[in-house]
Amino acid sequence: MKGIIDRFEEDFAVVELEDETMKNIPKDLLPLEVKEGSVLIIDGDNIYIDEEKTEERKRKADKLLEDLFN
Amino acid sequence: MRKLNNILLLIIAILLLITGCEDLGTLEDSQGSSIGNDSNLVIHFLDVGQADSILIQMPNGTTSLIDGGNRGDAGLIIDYIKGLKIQKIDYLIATHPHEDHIGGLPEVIKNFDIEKIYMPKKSASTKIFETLVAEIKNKGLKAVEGKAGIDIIMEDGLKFSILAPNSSEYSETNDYSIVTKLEYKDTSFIFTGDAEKPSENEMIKKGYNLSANVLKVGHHGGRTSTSEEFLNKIDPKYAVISVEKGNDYGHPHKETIERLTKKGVSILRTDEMGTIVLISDGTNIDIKGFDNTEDNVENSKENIERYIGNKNTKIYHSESCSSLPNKENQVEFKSTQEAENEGYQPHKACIKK
Repeated sequence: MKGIIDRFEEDFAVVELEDETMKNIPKDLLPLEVKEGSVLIIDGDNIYIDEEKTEERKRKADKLLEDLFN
Repeated sequence: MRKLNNILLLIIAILLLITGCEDLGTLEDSQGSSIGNDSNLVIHFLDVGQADSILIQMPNGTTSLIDGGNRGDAGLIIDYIKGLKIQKIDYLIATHPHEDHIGGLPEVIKNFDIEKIYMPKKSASTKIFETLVAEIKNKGLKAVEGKAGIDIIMEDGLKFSILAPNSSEYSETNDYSIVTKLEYKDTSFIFTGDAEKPSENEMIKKGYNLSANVLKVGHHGGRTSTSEEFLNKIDPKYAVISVEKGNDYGHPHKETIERLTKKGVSILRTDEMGTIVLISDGTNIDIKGFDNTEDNVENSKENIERYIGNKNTKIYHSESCSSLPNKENQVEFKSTQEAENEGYQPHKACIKK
C-alpha cells in the first residue's frame, strides 16, 4: 500500500492513503528522513520512502500551483 | 451517530436561522437578541471535528468560507450552507493546503457559485490538493494569492483584510496560513488558520492593528501558536478553538489554554459547544452553541419559541398553556410578533408581556 504524508501532528504523520482515507502513523515507525509530501510504501510495520514517486508528485504539485494563479 | 447528530444540528440551525429570517427578518430569543437580521454579521464555526471550517455571512450580503474541514466533512458543510439558502460563496479562503483545511473544498466548489478563491502560494503533494486544483480549473476559475496587505472588503464599517503570510518561504506549511481580520463597526475578529509563532511574530513586527474581540485560535490550540506576545497584541475577549474531543494530538494543548486563561479570555470550543455561531450587530457579540449531543439537541429544541393561536378566538397561547384550543382550531406561530402581525391577541394568563 502507498500513502502520502499530508502533515505532521505531534507524534504522528498524518498520511493520505491510496483510497483517500487519512491515517495517523506514529513517527517512530517511519524512516528518519521523511518529510511532508513523502510518498510511503507501507508493508505492515515496514515503511519505506518511494523517492522517485515523492519527486514526481512534488514536481506535479508545483506545476499545478503555477497554473492555479492569475 | 455523528451523522445523525449533524442532521439534527442542521435542522435546528435551519429552524433558527432560516424560518425566522424568511417570515420576520429576525427571530427573537429569550435574551431579546436576534439572529438572521439582515444588518448583522453572522459567523459560524462549524463543528467539523479536528479540522477548520468557518462560514461568514457579511452584513453587506456577501458570504465567505474560510477552510473546508476534512474530506469527510464535505456533506455536512454543503448541507449547512444550503440550509442557510446560500448559493454563492463570494470569498473562498483555503488558508493552507493541509487536508484538515482543504478536505471538503473540492465538493464545496462543485456545489456553489464561487466568486473569488484566495490561496497561499504553497503546493502539496497529496491527492486532495490535486483534486482541489482540478475542481477550481473545472469551474473555469483561478486563485488569487492570499498575502498580507490585501483588502478583500473595504467599506464603511466593514473591513475584511489579510494580515499574513508576510513571507514567501517558510519551513512549516502552517506558517503559509492566510490570516484574516474582519471588522464590523465596533466589533472585530481574527482568523488565523494554523499560523504558528514565526508568522505571528511577523504580524507583530509589521505593526498591524491586531486588536480584536474574538480570536480564532491558531492550529486547533496547539502549543506552537498563540504566543503570549501575539495574544497581548490581540487582547481578545473570546477565543474560539476548533477541535475534536479526544483527538490524537492532545489539542488544545495545556500551555495554550493556560496562556488564554491567564489573560482572562473566555474560551469557546467546538468539542464542547458543537457548532458555534457568533452574531454581531456592530456593537455587541451574541454567542450560540449548537451542541451535537442528544441532550443538548433536546434543549435547543425547547429553546425554539412556538406559539399556538386559536383560529376562532384570535387569541394566541404559549405552547405549554393549559387552555390550548382543540387541534383543528390551532395555528402555529414562531414568535409573538408573528402572531400579532396576523391579528392575534395574547392570552393574558400564559403570555407575559
